[in-house]
Amino acid sequence: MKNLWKEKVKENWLIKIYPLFSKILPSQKMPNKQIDSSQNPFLKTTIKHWLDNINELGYQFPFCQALISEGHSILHISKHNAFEQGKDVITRDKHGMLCAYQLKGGNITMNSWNSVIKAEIEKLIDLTIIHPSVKHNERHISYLVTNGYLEDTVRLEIDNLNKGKWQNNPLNVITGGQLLKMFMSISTDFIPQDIKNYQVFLDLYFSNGKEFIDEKKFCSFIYDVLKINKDALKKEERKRNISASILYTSYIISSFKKTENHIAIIHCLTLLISYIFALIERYNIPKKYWEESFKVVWQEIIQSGLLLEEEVVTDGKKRSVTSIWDGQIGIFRRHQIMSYLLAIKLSQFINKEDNWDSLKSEKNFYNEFKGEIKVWGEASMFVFFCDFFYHKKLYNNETVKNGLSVVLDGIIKYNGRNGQGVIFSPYYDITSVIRYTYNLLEEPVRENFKNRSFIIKSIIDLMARYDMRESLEKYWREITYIHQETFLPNENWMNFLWRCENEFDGDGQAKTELVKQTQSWKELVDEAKLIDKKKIPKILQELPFALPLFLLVYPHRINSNFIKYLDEITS
Amino acid sequence: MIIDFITIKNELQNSLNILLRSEVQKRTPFLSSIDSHIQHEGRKATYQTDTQEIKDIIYKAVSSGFSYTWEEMSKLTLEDIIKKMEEVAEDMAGQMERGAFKNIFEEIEKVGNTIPGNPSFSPDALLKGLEMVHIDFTDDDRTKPRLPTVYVSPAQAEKVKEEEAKATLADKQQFKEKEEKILDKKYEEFMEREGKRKLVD
Repeated sequence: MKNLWKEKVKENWLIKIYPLFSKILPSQKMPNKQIDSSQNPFLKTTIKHWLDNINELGYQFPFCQALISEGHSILHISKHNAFEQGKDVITRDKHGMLCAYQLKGGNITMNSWNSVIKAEIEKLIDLTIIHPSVKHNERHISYLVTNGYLEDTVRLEIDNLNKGKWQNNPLNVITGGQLLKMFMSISTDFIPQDIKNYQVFLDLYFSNGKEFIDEKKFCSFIYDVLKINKDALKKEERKRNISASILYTSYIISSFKKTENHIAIIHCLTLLISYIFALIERYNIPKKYWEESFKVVWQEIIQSGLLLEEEVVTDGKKRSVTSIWDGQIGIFRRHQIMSYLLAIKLSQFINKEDNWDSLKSEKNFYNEFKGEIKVWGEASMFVFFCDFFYHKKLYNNETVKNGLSVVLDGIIKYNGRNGQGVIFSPYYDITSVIRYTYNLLEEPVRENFKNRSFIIKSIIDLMARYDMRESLEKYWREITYIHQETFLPNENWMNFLWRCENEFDGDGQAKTELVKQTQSWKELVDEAKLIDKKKIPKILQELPFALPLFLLVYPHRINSNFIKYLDEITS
Repeated sequence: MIIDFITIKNELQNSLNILLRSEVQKRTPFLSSIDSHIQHEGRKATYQTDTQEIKDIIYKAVSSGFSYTWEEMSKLTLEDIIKKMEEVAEDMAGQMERGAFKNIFEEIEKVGNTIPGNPSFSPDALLKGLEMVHIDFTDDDRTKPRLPTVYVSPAQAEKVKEEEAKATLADKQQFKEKEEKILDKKYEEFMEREGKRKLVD
């Protein structure tokens, strides 16, 4: 029976009647819950506001998630807004039908239809899909999607074409109202229940799109959306909560999309996948409940990385100076460019993605920005690890090892026994440090960092793994004075929490160690070679390419074990 | 409810908290001279000693408080609040310094690093104490010892000052010679200790 169905799917008649038969318009076949937007008119207004104020790139990511929620598998999402055979998104729906979507932003007028869109739609309909998982000449259902509406004249022309020229593969249209229903139906799986939650959502939604998101607020909100502390939920509910978390994050990052703040988008989406990882790791959720959603988020991260790379290669330096204060603050901005792009390149390499070695090209961001690394705290130092791993792989060059000595030298010079203790611990983010630098903190920093370091052990172990005895010997006496700090969450899933703050949702132990004053080199090397895989969350072993961005965004989770694992997976 | 100015009150409260911390710091000269760390997450902590021993950090809550009647509260001025805060700071600082010394005494007793006979404070007792602690030298330079700070009670401090005033030039000279002799020995010990901070096969 199944095979017969598959065979029938290929036939033209089915393509024609399928939308009628299955009422395929996504808004008409919501699987999860009845839509009752009257339950939360504020939420509906917020989502409508969001939908009215974005272009097609802004809703492509949540639209894919909405399709996943309806049982689609995503085969392809167009990268970098490149027009590919007229198809922005290609999916297979839950019945196995191939679907191709072209996404547009705003109202479709007769003028825009005639001048641009009609020609693209003809390609959407006429050109067969070329994709490894699609059979040659397999038919597809075509969709035009817009977050606006269709002018009556356009609608009439589409009706006429569907009855005539396009009758074998009629065009289906999804407009703003239907999109709103789609997004509402997923959003209602989590409706901010109390006013505090709703206030947090609105704060995040209306936040300044030019800065980083408030991590604490965002993480606490997503924690609630994912219901991480509810242990009696069914897997299907977990799946819907993941969808809701992605939808809400889409609304929240729209302010960053508007300002093309790619770094903040990557940062926020990394926080999101980390919380999804926490959920998967804690409840051992099988892949089929989250894989499609994860792929969509990851694709969005990589796409934002590509856009960032293109921007900075074009005129990044110019764009990093936009006010009189950028003589001082511009370098912090440029440091972020290097950190995020190198982490993404490393992820792309681990995931064997195209474009991982774009630094081989003559004009690349690294050449532009390599002198722009600003050490402002241990949270800023992950870029050196990325640089080391990436260039070790790209050029297999011994000189990249020098970077490790530079970091060690910096820690000893500034936080060692003769230093001033000015390198902040990774618990202080870039915003706090800039505020501190210009005396703008609301409260003084009530600790000092002399003789302390969270990342020194990672550096020492890496140097031991790369046989850098001579360099380590030079520094060993000073190293013995530095307290090596780390925080060990009680359970692996807690690594993904922004902070392990209480006994129910996360806890752990702060640990301070000193190296042996007289240390055997052999013993040091042997220990440096060991990786405790039990302490690496399973999800990061399954998706190791997420590790560089996770450690970049969660610098307080950097420890020697993670760094050694990163070394292993990039070797 | 009657209209309120919560944001301003919160800002005032924050300023008061900062003031309290600063007043406590002023009143805890010993603790303020020690590097402090903040534990940003988790509830347990351990540290490792020079001798590789791992020990738990036991956090102790320090608290103080005050109460006002509605009548008093309705007439409180900013000066009254600051004055009360200074009293709280005094109380908390006392608890903290006493607690810290108590812990140190307990640890010293445990390892037996006390001056035999528990003599009262005198130049000889000071030198004896010096003999019993590690002394480091800045830049490995014999002329730059990092001498320990001596903490005494206010009453004892007066006595020390009196003793010092009574001491003759010869007494002082003799004390200095003895101190230098001890520091020579301490320098040797220091260099030997530092020589052990290395990588071996």
